Amino acid sequence: MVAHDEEQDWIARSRKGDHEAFEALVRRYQRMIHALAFRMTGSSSDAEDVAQETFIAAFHELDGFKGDARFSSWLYRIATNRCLNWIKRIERRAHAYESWVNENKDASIGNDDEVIAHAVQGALMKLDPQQRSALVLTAYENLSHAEAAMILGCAETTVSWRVFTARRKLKRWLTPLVKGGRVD
Amino acid sequence: MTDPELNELLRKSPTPSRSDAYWSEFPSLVSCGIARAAPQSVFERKRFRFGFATAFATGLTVVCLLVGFWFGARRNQNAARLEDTAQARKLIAELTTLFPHQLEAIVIENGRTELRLSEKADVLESAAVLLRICGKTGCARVITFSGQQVRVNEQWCDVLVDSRGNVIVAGPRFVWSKARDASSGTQIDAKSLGDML
Repeated sequence: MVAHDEEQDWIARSRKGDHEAFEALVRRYQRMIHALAFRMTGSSSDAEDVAQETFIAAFHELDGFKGDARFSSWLYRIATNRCLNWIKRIERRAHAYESWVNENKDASIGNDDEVIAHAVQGALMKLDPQQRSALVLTAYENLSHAEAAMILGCAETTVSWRVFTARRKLKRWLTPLVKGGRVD
Repeated sequence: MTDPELNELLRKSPTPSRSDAYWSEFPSLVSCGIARAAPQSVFERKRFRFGFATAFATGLTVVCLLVGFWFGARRNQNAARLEDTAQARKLIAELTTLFPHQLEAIVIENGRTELRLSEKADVLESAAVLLRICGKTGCARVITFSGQQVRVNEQWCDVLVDSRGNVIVAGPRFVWSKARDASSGTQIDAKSLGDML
């Protein structure tokens, strides 16, 4: 409750142009937004850019935050839209995947955990961006389908269907990894 | 693979780890980004306003000039028309005095004035009409009376004036009036001078 009041105070002060108050908000949510951006873009450097863009956009759009949803949900929506725009910018999902492969091909992959992490992110990048965003919000950020639907601006059933499809694909692609084989 | 197995696998994919220095600097990076964006947007707004004001002022000037030209041209046209009408009235008054009931038409074309006179004094001096006819070969002004014939586009046409002073030019293949112009390829303008005689 105290944290919520504190957040409301930061939001109110940020609306008046208080940069210190906004920096406090950034500090609270920066890891969350970076994680989302990385899951969506598959690139560490692009995730940093998208996260920065997200917070800058949030600062300029603060008057549009009515307080009827959680601030984190509102921030997620901005970040998700930025990520989807980023994906549009590079135009093709295949291109995003290729970028990710190129960026990570020289990464030193030593132990099994690193191999798995590498394969999982690769599989995520192969997903359709809409399916990826639905899965990232629900599986990684632990949001309900209803919350994800609000952030993505679509129906809850659409989110459920996207999550189901994404999971089915990931199972197909990652099963060989679990069984000790190689993943494409 | 079951759903819990997949969840477990997904969680094994961590996001890239970043240094504490990055996390402590990131908020100030965002603030710098905001500060960088703000003057630019103010500058852009100013530039937009300046551009808009310039375009508006230019547009307004052009509109004012066009309106001025239009009024000037219209005034000149009206003045010319009045002069035309006055000259036509004067001319027809003088010529009907000289040739009573003989004057069929006065045709002014290419700077030449041609009088069409009847051999007998049998022309009914009804309502006088001033016509301006523009065809392929140029424009001609014709002063005549209602009921007389004029040549329009190689055709002889009847000029008629109704009781309200409306002029009708009727040819074998067209009928012209101010309300209904069916004279293809020929521009006609007409004014009744009848009440002046």
